[in-house]
Amino acid sequence: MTELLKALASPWNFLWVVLVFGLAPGFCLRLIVVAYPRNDPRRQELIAELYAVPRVQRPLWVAEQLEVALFEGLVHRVSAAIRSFTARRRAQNQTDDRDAELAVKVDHVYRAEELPGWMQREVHDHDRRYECDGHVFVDGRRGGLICKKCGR
Amino acid sequence: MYADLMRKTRPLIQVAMTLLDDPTGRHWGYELSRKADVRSGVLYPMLTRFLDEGLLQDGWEDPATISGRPPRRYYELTDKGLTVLGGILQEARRDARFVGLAWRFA
Repeated sequence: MTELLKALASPWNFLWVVLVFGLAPGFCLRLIVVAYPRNDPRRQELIAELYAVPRVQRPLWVAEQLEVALFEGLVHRVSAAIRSFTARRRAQNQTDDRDAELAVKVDHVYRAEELPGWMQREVHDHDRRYECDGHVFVDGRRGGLICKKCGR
Repeated sequence: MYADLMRKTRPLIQVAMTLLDDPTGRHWGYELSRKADVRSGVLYPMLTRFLDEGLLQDGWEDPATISGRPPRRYYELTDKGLTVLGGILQEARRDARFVGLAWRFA
């Protein structure tokens, strides 16, 4: 009994208890909720719920949230990343199609010599460039040219 | 209709019973998991599904009424939730798989 009391009174044990039941659950939970997308209300919800959990149960409860975050949050994040990647690819393909279409319509494009000096330099810096009968068109996505028709 | 589509599992029945214990009250995540005796790993995905299907609506505590902690998110049963979950429980009563459950609501 005396040994038990001594163990409880030991400063190291006290620090461990403070760490495990005091600081660690909140800290770990804040790391865990990062698995959820930024605007997911569950981030705030779980942090707020921690205050309702009795201190003794907090370490286990937080460990349980890791499972929830992995299966709910991470899955959302991965699927969102895949959706975003697919959308970017689709947009990229559409832009390529549009560029190719514009390149054919050379009469809608400024003549190279009509461009201001800075823009001409930019034009020549570009690796993607279409020329036809004195007209030039470069990849519009990089801020180069410049369809005469739409003025961009 | 939803009662037929939703797969009836023991945690679903337990959560439905807990929600219908207080059909007009506010339910909190941790308390719900404790009262329904369902792990949060099962409860939270279920709550998300209920919200998506319009069986529950959520809200946040008014920060002016609390101090020293962030506002908590609560869940309330909608009319649709009352009907659907009530229907599920009615069916579950006749299901042999859920014989051991204590039926708390009338």
